[in-house]
Amino acid sequence: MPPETPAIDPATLAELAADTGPSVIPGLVKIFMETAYARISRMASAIAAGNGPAVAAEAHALKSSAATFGASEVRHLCAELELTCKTSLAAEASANLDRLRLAVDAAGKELSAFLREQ
Amino acid sequence: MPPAAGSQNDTEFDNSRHHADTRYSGAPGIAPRWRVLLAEDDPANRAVLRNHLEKSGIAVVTAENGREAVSLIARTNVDLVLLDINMPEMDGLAAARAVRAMDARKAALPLIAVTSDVNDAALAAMRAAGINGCLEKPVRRKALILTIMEALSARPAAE
Repeated sequence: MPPETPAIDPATLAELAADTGPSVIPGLVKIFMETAYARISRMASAIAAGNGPAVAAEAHALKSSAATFGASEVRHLCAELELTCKTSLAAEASANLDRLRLAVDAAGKELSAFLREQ
Repeated sequence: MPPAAGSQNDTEFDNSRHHADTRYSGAPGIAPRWRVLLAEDDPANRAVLRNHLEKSGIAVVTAENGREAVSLIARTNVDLVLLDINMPEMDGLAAARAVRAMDARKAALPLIAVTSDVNDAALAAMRAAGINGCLEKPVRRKALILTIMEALSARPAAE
């Protein structure tokens, strides 16, 4: 069984916090989480509409911000959704979106814990 | 978000500052600060990059897609453009081509891609579109500022 991707890469998050500062990072995390759930909602709508490229576009954007916040599993799942839905809706898109939602939940918990420890 | 009060004393960049012109110091009475257009569709990445720039004393104008970026470049003066590549309405490559087709002054603007997809094909497409450099996400503040300083040190300020 392959090793699990961590919800949050602590090194990337620590670098982001060092670059932005402790007073700024909570606001940035809030924007990231709100945007992530909004993108998941739009991906669900696109899947219901059978629109693969729209899923891929949202997945790409979330992959990009997940990289910034060290959300490794979110990044990995978004890359998969982007790749498989680029030209047409993949059969496994709905199941992958469920996994992505759980990964965003997990990332949110770890980010909250990080902020509490700041 | 206003520039951080301590940005002019940021010791992290003391050595790099030797290569910068006076605009980076933000000293009062000296010519305008560098002004960067940041084109990025994702709100979280936009907020992070904006923070990095303002914390370093750089003025920021933002656009949410390539079309908005091109329109802003045509109407306002900036010193450099940071371009996300994958954006809705008009992507970073199309925006770069549009800038390179503008009048000589605008067409000479340094264009730096900021993207999560860096591979040989993507880099070749960026070069073909006239993009001068590329930063891979996640972008550290120091790397961002050094890239900008390198691109801008020899250029006159936007007015």
